[in-house]
This record gives sequence, C-alpha cells and structure tokens, in this order.
Amino acid sequence: MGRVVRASLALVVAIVAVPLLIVVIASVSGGERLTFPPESLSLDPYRALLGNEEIRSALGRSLIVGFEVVVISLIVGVPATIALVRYRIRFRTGIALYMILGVATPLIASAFAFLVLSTRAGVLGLLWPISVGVAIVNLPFLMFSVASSLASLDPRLEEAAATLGAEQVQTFLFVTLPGIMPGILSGTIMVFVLGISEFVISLLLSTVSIQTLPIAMFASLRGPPPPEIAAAAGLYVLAALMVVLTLTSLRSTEQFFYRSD
Amino acid sequence: MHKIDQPNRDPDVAVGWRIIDGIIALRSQLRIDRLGRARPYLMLAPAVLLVSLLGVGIVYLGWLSIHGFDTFLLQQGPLSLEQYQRLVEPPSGEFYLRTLNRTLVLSFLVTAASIALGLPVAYFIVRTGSRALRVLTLVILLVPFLMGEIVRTFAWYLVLGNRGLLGWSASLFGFESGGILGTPLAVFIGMVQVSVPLAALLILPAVRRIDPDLERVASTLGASPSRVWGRVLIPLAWPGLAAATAVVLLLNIAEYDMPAILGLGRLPFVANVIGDIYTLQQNLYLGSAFSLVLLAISTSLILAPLLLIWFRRWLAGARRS
Repeated sequence: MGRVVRASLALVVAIVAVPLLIVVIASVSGGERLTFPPESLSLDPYRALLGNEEIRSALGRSLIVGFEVVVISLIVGVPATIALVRYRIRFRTGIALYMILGVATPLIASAFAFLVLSTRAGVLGLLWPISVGVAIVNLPFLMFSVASSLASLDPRLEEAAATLGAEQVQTFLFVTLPGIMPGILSGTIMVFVLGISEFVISLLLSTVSIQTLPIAMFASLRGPPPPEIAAAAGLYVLAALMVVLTLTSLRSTEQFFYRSD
Repeated sequence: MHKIDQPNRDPDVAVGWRIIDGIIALRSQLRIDRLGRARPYLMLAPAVLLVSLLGVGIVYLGWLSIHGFDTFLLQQGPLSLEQYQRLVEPPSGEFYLRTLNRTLVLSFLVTAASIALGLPVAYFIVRTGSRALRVLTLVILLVPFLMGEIVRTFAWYLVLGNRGLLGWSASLFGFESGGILGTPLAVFIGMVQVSVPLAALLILPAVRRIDPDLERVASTLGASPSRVWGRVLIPLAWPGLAAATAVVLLLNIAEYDMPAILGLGRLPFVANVIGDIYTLQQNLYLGSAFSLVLLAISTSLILAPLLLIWFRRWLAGARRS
C-alpha cells in the first residue's frame, strides 16, 4: 500500500474521528462553559439535560418524529420494494427513479416545498407534517436496504414453499419475511436515526412550540453553547455509533457495504 | 372438542395457526387473488402517493414563484416574473447571485477534495488484507453520516472555536489563535467531514470491480505508482467517481448548518438565504423561486456526469462498430 494512500487514510480518519472524540469529551466535562481541555470531568451536562424542561421535551418530540417516520416508511416502503423487485411491472425504472425524488432534490428545496404545502393546508405548527416530510426524503434508504435483502433471497425458496402447498400468506410470513428481516431491520434503524437527527425540514416546518431537538440545539448555538447541548450531542454520537455497530453485525459488514453488484 | 383436533400441545402455535387461517379466510373473502396483475401496482400505490406529496409541492413552488408578492399587505400579486427578476437584477440581485456563487464554489472545492481523499480510502478498504482494519474504517466512516448535521456542526464548533481544540493546540506551540470560525476554511473543513465518507462509500463498488492483477501487471511492466493510478485505477474507477461527484455535490449545495454556525453567518449559502427569506421577509414567493433555481442547478449537475458516461459509452460503441 503506497504512502499516499496511507497518508490520505490517516487524514480522513482524523477529520472524521477527532470531532467525535471532542463531542464525547465535552459531554462529560465540568464547568460553566465548554472549553478544551475541560476544567474537570463530570456528568453535569447530562444532569443539566435532564433538568432542562425545554430540551427534554424537544428530545421527546424528536423521538416521536423518529417513530412516526419509521411507521410511515415501513407501511409504504416494504410493499413497494417487494413489488419493484419481485413483480413484472411496467415503467419499473421510471417508478424506481421517482422513488428517489426526495434524495435527488436539494434538501432545502424539498423543505420549502413541504413548507408551502403545509401553509396551504393549514397544518403548519403540527408535528406530523414534519414526520411525513422526513419519511419522504429518507424513504430510499429503507427501500435500498430491503431491496438488497430481497435480491439476495432466492426466489426459488418462495416457489418451493408454494409448490409444497403453502398459501401465499404462509409463504410471505414464513419464507419471504424472515428472509428480508435483516434488510427491514437495518433500514428501520437507519430511517429512525435519520429521523431523530433531521434538521432542515424541521427548521422550516417547526414553530417555537414544537421545536425538535436539533432545532433547539441550533438555537442555543447562537451564543456560547450551554453544557446540556454537549450532552445531547454526546447522545447523538453514541446513538450513531450503536446503530453502525448494529447495522454491521446484522449482516457481515462487507455484505452491508458492498451490496450485491 | 375432539382430541384429534388438537394434535399440537403447544397452545401458542395453535393460536398462531388460527390467526393465519383467519387471514387466509379473510383474503379469500376479499378476493385479493382476483386482483391478479393489478396487485404489484396496488402495493406501489401508497409509496407513489407519498412521494407525490413532494412532487406536488415542487409544482406548487413553481406556481408560487411566478406570482408577485405584496410585501405590505402580505398578499399574492398577479402573475409575473418579479421574483426571478429580484434574484438577478439590482439592487437585491447582487446579494443573491453572490450567495449562489459562494455556494457553488465552496461545494465544488469540497467535492473535489472529497473525491481526491475518498478514492485512496476506498482503495484501502478494498485492498487491505486485514479484515479488522476494513471493518473499523467502515464503522468510522459511517458514524458522522448518521449523527446528523447539527451534531457535526457542533463538534466542529468545539474544535475550531476560540476556546476549542485548535486554540489549545496552537497555544502548545506558543501561538495565539482565536480559532478560525467565520472563515471559508472552517466551513470547508466541516463539510469535508461528511463528504469524504460519502464519496468513499460511493466509490467503493467501482474499485472493488477492478482486478488487482491489472495493477500488478502494470507495475511489473515498469509503471510507477503514480502511472498505475493515472493510467489504470482512475480510468477504471471512473463510473464510481462520476456518481460520487454528483451525489456529494448535491449534498453540499444544500448545506445549511456549517455556513450558519462555522461561518458565523458571514458566509451564507443558498439554503441560509432561503431560510431567511421565509423567517425574516415571510416571502414564500421569493423563497419558492430561489428553491427552484437551486433545484434546476442541482438537477443539471446530476445529469451532467450521467450524460458524460452515456456519451463515452456511445463513443466506445461507435468506435467498435
């Protein structure tokens, strides 16, 4: 392996990992202001987080958004993916391309589109339009995940079940569903984390009374950030880390990243 | 009940089978099988409808953007190109065009850096002999992607701010540094953190398709490492590089948090300005126009590499025949 490759790898790992470490350190630092190196180590930021009513309810709202996004994406995304992968349908490529509209549109433009729609429909200031918007934008992540599982599931298994006399319901419940479960799970987890950390759509669609956690964090960054923000950021880093570890252990890491090509 | 009806001693299993029988009975009552060819389309319908909300929203943006807006009465005006004119003509046009220019220039720089750094990282992941190193690298790359824009920004705020890691490291070497917040460099570094992993993950499949023997052959025949990269690896990884360029660019031109926080608001991007148009001016019409301009630019940027790939294939095909 060449020197250039090693040097770039080291640089990238530093750029990616150093800020993560700093957040974790800041989230366990004592003192009124966040400085580096921290004045002392303590769990005060997390206590402050629990004590701060505003931040706590913002966290609750973010969790609700994450949950709603998961429900919407699963109900809508799993059947659609099965239809796209397993059935012969017209305009398959066209429909598949349409599904990634949310990813192919710059996020701020999607957010503005949701803003004008919500204003028109008079639902601005409610939480669920945010969830719907976030679900649309992140739907492709769930669908990719399910599709890659489905593609690696041999369709002959389903045919065999049917030949052996299983009803369609049974085939689906006992052959297809367990087969694509890893894909559904990793897609669900991914969509959930993307939902709780979503920023731009919430920024335009939320009012002061329904701030989600990322919006509350953004607002507090206008001045010197209080310690509880560091605790919230620490939680996000830990959540992301746990999710990545879960994702990579659901299937072998190589399989997860390489997909079938 | 006769004993013969309950061959299975486990009550849970029996209940499970009853439920499934129930579903099957319900299905035959509802005659779902009769749907036949329509079934896949019915399975797709909810997803298509959901995404159509965005489609309708974008069309609505277009409709609003070609209307005037009375800033005094906060009312919709007659059909006109007023909003687009405001984006390009003086006195306000200069600010909007400068914002657009800044967004594009910084996004291109970040994208170039991400591709340049992402390719060697992808190469390392594919070619390293150690499985542990590969998994570790992949895990590190994926974390910033999932922790959210605002947390990434906050992290860099702690690193680059005047009482942050950077100032502290500088003081170790005897320098006085107030941090680099508010400079384009700060915004650039912040954006690179998520762009490089994304680029590397998108280039990965293309690099994996390259036969390692090709490199060996090239170097056995006397090619220097830089020649192997320039003449073998980069040309073969070309489709991955093009795809990564498009996606990373798309992500970057919509950036909001990094310019707002790390740029201290001095270097607004298009997204920041669109946000301000809504919150400060309450002008949905101008915001719609600017959003659509951004959408048009990003769409052409995505299509450009695709067209380029298609054109190269077409050229190759034409040469062969």
